[in-house]
Amino acid sequence: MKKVLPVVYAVVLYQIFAQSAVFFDEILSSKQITFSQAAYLVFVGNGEYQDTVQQKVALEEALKRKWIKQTGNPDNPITVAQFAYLVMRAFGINGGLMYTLFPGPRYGFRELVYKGLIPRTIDPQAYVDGALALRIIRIAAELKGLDK
Amino acid sequence: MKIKNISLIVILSLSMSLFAWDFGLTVSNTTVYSYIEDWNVSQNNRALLWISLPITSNINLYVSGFYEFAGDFSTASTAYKPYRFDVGKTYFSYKPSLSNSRLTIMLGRLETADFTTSIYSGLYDGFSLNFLTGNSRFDIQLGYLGFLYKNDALILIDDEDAAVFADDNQYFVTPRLLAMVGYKLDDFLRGFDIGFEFWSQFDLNSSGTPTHSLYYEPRFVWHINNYFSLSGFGILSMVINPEIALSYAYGAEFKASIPSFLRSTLTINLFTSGSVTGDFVSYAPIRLLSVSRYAHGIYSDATAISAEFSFAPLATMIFALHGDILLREGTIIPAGYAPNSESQFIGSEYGMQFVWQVVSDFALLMGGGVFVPNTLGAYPSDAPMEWKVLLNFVLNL
Repeated sequence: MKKVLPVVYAVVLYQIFAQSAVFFDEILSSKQITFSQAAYLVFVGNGEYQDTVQQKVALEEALKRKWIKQTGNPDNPITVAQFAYLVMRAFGINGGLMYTLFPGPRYGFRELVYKGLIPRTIDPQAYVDGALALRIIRIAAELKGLDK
Repeated sequence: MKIKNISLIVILSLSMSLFAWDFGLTVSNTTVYSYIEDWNVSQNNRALLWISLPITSNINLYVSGFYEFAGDFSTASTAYKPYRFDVGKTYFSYKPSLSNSRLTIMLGRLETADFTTSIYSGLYDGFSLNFLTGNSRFDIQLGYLGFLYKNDALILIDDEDAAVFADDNQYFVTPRLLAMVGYKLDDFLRGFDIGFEFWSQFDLNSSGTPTHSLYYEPRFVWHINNYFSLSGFGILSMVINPEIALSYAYGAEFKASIPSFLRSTLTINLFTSGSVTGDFVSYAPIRLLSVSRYAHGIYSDATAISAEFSFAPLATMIFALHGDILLREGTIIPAGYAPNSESQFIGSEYGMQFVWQVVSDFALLMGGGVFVPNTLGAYPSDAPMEWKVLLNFVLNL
């Protein structure tokens, strides 16, 4: 089973990011993904944009929708909590009571830990590496039935 | 009232992260309504603030403390404590990076329990070492019990403990040292886990006669297949005061799971808390343990045979229905028994529980039931039934 899982994992992700294997590989080996890469991943992951969209466009859309706050530099690394909130919004994942009252990275992060998208040992203030980002996107897509 | 092993705090802690900088506030309410010949409401509200702080990649600091309101209300009396502040779990934990095993060393106010929570469950101040390698697990724990609030710790081993418990001017339990060594081997044979634990407490009270006790608890779990399991344990205890006396407890559980039918489970459980028989005396665990769910005052000298059927219409919701038979063990007669009664059948209990994790940060538990005393030869014919209803909810902020 352990050998099968990475294959399934890769197949699902290649389905989502079919046109951009180079980008996919780049993300997978990245130690810290940026705000613009994160915005691109969630918009392509949820199927709102084609994978040919520019990262800049995806980031502007996320900023416009207030899914992320002004970043200063779009190439700044995004934290796990910020990425969790972005995923919650992009995939329309429902949160708990506190998330409903105070939507934001804090409760978005906790929700994704509870739902098993994020390992419990991850620090919410740590930067997201590419493998973790793709794992979160993959499970979010599965939750919403977007991996079919 | 014994509630399901799944505590709501534990359920909700699944949304919290370990080894991560985080903080939160956990607010809980527990209301217990009981009725024997008069009603009584026990109310407890707690707000627990916790902080988790990684110091290095291997060392984490976790600090928690709480405010608590507690009260008991009945037509006869009202007694409440409007506030109490205390320290919850607070510790440094160290988890070095090892290749094929896992070591965890913790220092501070820690939580522990034996395999079956039949010896001790609760907090202690001290140290723990847990080592996992292959399918083996080793545990060592050493600590002090004297800084625990008596109503939480429920350490009632001898008369001096009872006197401390009854004294409103005393906050802490009698000082004691707690020590534990345990070993567990999973898949000793295919699907067959075994383990044992040694527990001991040493009375450090300088006045009066100290009461020390030692416990040996072997246990097995047989995972027969994906649907059935069987487990059993025994406890042999030695109490030194200063004479040496032996006591025992044992239990067994058969569990049948039918995941395809509303994730249902049928559990048949037997638990005996030993009594005065032959060379044995009544079983006295470190933390007070009730054999019954609803009947008051049955702490030892009794056997409970229980059947429980639980099902989960949703993944986050569990209903459980249960019925228990209580039997006398040994020569000790339960409080309220008819004089000279020889009956072994104490009575029966019926009840239900409902656990629902509504959302990730809010869960509730409702439960209740009744003890029906055996009035045909055990209790007097006018012995009342004993009702108990519990409402518990927890919110993580």
